[in-house]
Amino acid sequence: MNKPLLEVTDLCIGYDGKSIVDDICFSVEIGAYLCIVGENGTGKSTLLKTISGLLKPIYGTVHFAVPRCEIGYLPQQMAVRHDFPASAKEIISSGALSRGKWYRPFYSKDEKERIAWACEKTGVVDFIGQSFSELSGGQQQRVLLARALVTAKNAVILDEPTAGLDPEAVKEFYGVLTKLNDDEKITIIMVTHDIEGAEKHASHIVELGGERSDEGEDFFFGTVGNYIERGRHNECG
Amino acid sequence: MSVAELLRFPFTQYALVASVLMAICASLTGVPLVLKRYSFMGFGLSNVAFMGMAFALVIDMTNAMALVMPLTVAATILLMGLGNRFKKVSGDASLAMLTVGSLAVGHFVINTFSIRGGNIDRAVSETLFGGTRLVTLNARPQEVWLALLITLLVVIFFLFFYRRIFAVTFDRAFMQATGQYPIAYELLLSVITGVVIAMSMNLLGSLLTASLIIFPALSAMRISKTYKGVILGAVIIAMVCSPIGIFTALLFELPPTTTIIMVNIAAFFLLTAAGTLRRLLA
Repeated sequence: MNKPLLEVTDLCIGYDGKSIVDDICFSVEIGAYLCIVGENGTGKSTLLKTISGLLKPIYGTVHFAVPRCEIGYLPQQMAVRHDFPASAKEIISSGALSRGKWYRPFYSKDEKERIAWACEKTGVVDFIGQSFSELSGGQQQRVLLARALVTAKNAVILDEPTAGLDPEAVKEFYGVLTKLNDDEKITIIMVTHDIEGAEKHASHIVELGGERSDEGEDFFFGTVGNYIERGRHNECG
Repeated sequence: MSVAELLRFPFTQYALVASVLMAICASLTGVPLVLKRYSFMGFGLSNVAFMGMAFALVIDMTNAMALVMPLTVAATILLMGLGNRFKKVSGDASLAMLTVGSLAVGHFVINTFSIRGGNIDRAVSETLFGGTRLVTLNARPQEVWLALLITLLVVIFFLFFYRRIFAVTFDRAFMQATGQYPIAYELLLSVITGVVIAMSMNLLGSLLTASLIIFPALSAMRISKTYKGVILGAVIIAMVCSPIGIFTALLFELPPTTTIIMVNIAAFFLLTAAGTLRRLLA
């Protein structure tokens, strides 16, 4: 049995002291592929931001077994300026800063190797020198995934990475993620509105505000099998 | 007098050196400001520096920078670093109030309380627009040495923290989520911006300061789509435009500071055309 990478205990999330969901409990083991799903406004993005340390929990705890500087992050698309003058390489390399010493002005040899590795895994090598603003939506997301991967020794956290992408780009993105999860044992924690994709690729699901939750609770946590079974059960009942 | 003759005067040399040094500082600090969509902040902050200068004049301080610098740095931190924390008034409104308010307060204070004799309007005009002739461009040796020191510090800061300045400008949420402290770099950047603006306002006037923050950065963005390209481009453009402006002003007896701005505006349009042409040919 693996020890959990992430433990969320009695967590209450919200903005400005106003709670949206409370008593959230779940844990993520190393190598898991967790999707957080739910309708708009159920707090899935707030939950992800709380897990990534961008928002403070109202109460409860989020505990990672590894330091934050070893966890990659891919922000919501709205949070990134798509016309920013920067090359794909400049953006991807900045993923190495979390573990770099503050007084070093350049990237070390190890860091450069890590950057090259991440570029290869995400298939961005062909357009690494191009400007971020000139890339397609799917390419931009892969560049941001590569940056997260440079940081990630163990896990990446993704906030709606496939929103607004065309079907071909979505398929490609899921392909890259699944490969990372299978081959590199990178834990994936992802918010998505794409339930079909989540059922197909994830190992575990957290659903906020759905009908599959136990009585008295407003969230569901379990394996994908469990999740699909509950859905069928609800349809019959 | 020919340009060569004029160049032999120390005040011409000081003016030349001071304008190039401040061009380097202002264009460097201007890039993250423009990219964070704080372009207007350069103008607002140089007005704050003007207000500081007005108070210093009225109370007859011998070293005006002792008041102007802390005031400008405080305003920068308030607008940039901590602006989103105590959000009572929206960022856009507080910047507009500060810009207009400080200009008005500065002008009011000088005109109402000035005990110094002489031409008040001219003192105001010089602080805002810089000297109208090169002789009055406000550079004295000790100030040029201070400018040199500050330029060195700014360049070293940008060299050392280049990658982190990029990261905090591009995506601060990523920095925070990966266990870094974006607020520390934002604070450092605000302090440096404040110091540069105060210094540059003192030497070149507030209008040229605001121009040197925005024009080189925006011109560089016309021709380069990488961060390194924009930073280097901005510094080079600013370093070239300032001496051209000063020599043109000398040759045709024009006001030096606004001539430098004219050269920067011309450079912007020229590089916009070059950028468009390159895109069309590609």
